[in-house]
Amino acid sequence: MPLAQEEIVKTLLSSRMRVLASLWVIVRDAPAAEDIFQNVTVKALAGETRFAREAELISWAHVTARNEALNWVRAKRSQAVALDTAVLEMLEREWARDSAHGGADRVEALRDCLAALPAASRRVLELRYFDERSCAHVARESGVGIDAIYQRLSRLHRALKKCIERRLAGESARVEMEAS
Amino acid sequence: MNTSDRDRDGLLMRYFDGTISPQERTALNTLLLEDADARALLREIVEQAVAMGDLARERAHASPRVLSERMRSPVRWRMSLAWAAIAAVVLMAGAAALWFLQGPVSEVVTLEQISGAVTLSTDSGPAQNGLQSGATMRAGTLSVEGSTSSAHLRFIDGTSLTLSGESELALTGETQKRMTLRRGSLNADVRTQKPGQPMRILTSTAEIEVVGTRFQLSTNSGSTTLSVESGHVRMRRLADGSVVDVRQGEMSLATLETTNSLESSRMLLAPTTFRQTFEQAPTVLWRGTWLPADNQGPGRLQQVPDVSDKKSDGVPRVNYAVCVQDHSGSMVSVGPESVLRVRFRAARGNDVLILFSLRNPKGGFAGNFQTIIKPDSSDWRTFDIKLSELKAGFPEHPAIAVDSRVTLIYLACFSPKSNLEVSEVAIEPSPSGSQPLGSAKPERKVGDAQ
Repeated sequence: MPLAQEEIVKTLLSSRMRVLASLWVIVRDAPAAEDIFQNVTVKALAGETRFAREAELISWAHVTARNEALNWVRAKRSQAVALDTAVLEMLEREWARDSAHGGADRVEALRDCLAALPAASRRVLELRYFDERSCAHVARESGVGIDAIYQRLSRLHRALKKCIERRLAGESARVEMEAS
Repeated sequence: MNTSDRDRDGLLMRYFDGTISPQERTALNTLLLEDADARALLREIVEQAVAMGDLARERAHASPRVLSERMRSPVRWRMSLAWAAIAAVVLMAGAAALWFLQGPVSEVVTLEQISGAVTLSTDSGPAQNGLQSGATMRAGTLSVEGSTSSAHLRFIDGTSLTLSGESELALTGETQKRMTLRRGSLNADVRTQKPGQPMRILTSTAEIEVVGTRFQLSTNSGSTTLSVESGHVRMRRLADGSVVDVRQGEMSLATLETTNSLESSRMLLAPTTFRQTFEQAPTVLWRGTWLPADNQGPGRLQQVPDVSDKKSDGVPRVNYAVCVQDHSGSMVSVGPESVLRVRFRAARGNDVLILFSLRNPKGGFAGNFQTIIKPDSSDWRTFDIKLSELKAGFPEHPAIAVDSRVTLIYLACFSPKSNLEVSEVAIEPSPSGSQPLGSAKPERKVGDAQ
């Protein structure tokens, strides 16, 4: 008995963050990743492929999303700049295996951790990921060099990781930055 | 953070920023293949980036007045509307489920004519194969498999629908006609419906509302095409809720793209000549395995399995076909004098079916026409036939009218070992040259057409 449309929608929405993440690695463009995920959802609902189990659907969604994302990159850019397929497949396997990271809880934890950041640090992340500015733009706005922004973003991501883990473990949101 | 960590972070950040060099990309690929910690860091950064994207959208919806310039860009709006489309699809799935969960049904539908592989699935029992013409149904899903299969349905009020090709239609069985065309194509002749109870058909990208008219509807996962033969039909694009009234002789296309307004236009003019060779791989409208030119012959399409019918136990009968299907009506316009030319080969002793499916220029179904060739050798051969010599498949469409539009050209054998290959399909408006049809050409060693 193939999955019904409601089950397909429910399964894809529960895997949305993971599929979006694997798309973002390739396209590095949030609207494009959203568009592709939407296309994959519509394809799944169209019924051209039948899914007997949820795992089958998720696997199909990852592969279909990856192919569409690679086509998007090829169409948009003059040279292939995505990671190798072997790397992408390895990342997808690890994402599929690592089911502990729940979507909604994680977003809530991140929200708390962002609120706990100093304003200047939050501004860097907002420019980069909320407004999708390039690192060169963020560097100009921040009055520093681009390498300094790369380093600052790396440190911020590490600090947020620890903060999110603490928050998911029930502790308060506290961001501790590494020394430069 | 040591120098090695800094190098790794720099590579990742430059990759995400789109400023990585080819050499650095190679180094990053190697690093990620070998270093699980590097992959874990990449995944962490990406998950944070995606989550921040969600928070940005949430903020944009909550505080439209403080949107940054970038958030007001067309790209952003397109994304919002894309999610509206997802929501619409989710709603469609939910609505379809609700329809089927509703109480007793009242409308009986007669399956007036069944051709090929047609399956009925209902909530009350196993899927029914081997349906016979005259069977009735109330609610359920009709699946038509195979390019040449079709199902003709008639409602109590005289409204009729013809599903053709690879199509799937779910009916609710309510008094108000509501259905979901999940894929494929249907022709409809809708009697005037009760006031306030128009017929509604949902697809993945559109909903259409019909009071009484004749039209043709085709859909796949990303688009819906509506062609109206008489009267008018209202179409709503699910992605943004925009509406267009499509009138007689007009068509409209609803996709998930919302940057262009939803409009109707005059139906496409079709050429009267058509020629397809396979030196290059053909468009996705064609079915068959493409083979480039080699010492066995020119570029060509090789047969692929295609369900032609299903036995009552659900076991499919399979043809081995090369075909093209295009419901837009713009592929080619033909009349009884038009001539078909096919260059093909098949293993000796295998019959070759040639079948055309037609619609009239306003969108209505105009019949199937076919012949069977009996090749007497396995050599490449060219076969010409005037379309008026083809045999009608439906008694209500006994002859080919002028300006009929081809929606399917289908060549098939009946054995997996028939090795059917096609290198050219062409249509001319009338016989050309001084040679009469059927005259000998070096390649034309074809037996009688039935």
